Amino acid sequence: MNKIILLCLVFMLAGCATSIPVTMNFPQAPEALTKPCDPLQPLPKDKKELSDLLENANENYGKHHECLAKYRAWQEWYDTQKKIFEEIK
Amino acid sequence: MWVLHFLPDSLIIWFIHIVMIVGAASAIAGYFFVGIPYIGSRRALFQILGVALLIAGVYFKGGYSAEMQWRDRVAEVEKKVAVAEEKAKKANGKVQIKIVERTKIIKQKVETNTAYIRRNKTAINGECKLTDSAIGVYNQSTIDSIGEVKLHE
Repeated sequence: MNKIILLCLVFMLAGCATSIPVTMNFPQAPEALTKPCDPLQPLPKDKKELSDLLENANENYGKHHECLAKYRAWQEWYDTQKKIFEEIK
Repeated sequence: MWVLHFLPDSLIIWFIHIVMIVGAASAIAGYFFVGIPYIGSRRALFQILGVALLIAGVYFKGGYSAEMQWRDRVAEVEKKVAVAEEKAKKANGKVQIKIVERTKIIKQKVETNTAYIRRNKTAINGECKLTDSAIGVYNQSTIDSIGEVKLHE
């Protein structure tokens, strides 16, 4: 009789189980996006000509545009990954 | 039903069917044991045991079906996750290529402009000389004066 009760208890315990949820790994961001933006370079004190200023401004604008491209790529990356993630549901 | 994970599916379904069949057979057979000596006097026990087995069998059948539904659902989600992870990788590759190409174009433009400025240096400069204060003001705008903002939590 005790064995029967024990067996019943084991089978009753089977009802307490929970299933393991399936999760998606967090997507790794592209390497190019993880690098920080370059800081803007000031004009050296000894460079006093207008051409030096223009050259420096040109380089700094370039850095700004690179940073802007990264920012837009981050937005694109996020939107794409969000869309992919939502497709699982 | 974690116990079921350790047993093969065929064994589980066989066990459930046997319990149900034995239970039903035992419960019904109890009615026909009337005239049989020894067993006839214990037919109530057969019926009770049979009903108990039948109930247990139905319970297990329900649990097994639920378990199988969960397994199917998990397999389906696992498949979707695998497809999504593959898509995510491809999307990353596209973004990576785009950013590298854009950066290349920007750098080329900067180089072209720098080359133009250097070629036309004399014409650009003329008599113009920058004062220290002009350079100071210009440099102020290149400094990241905000830096890292600390938030009070």
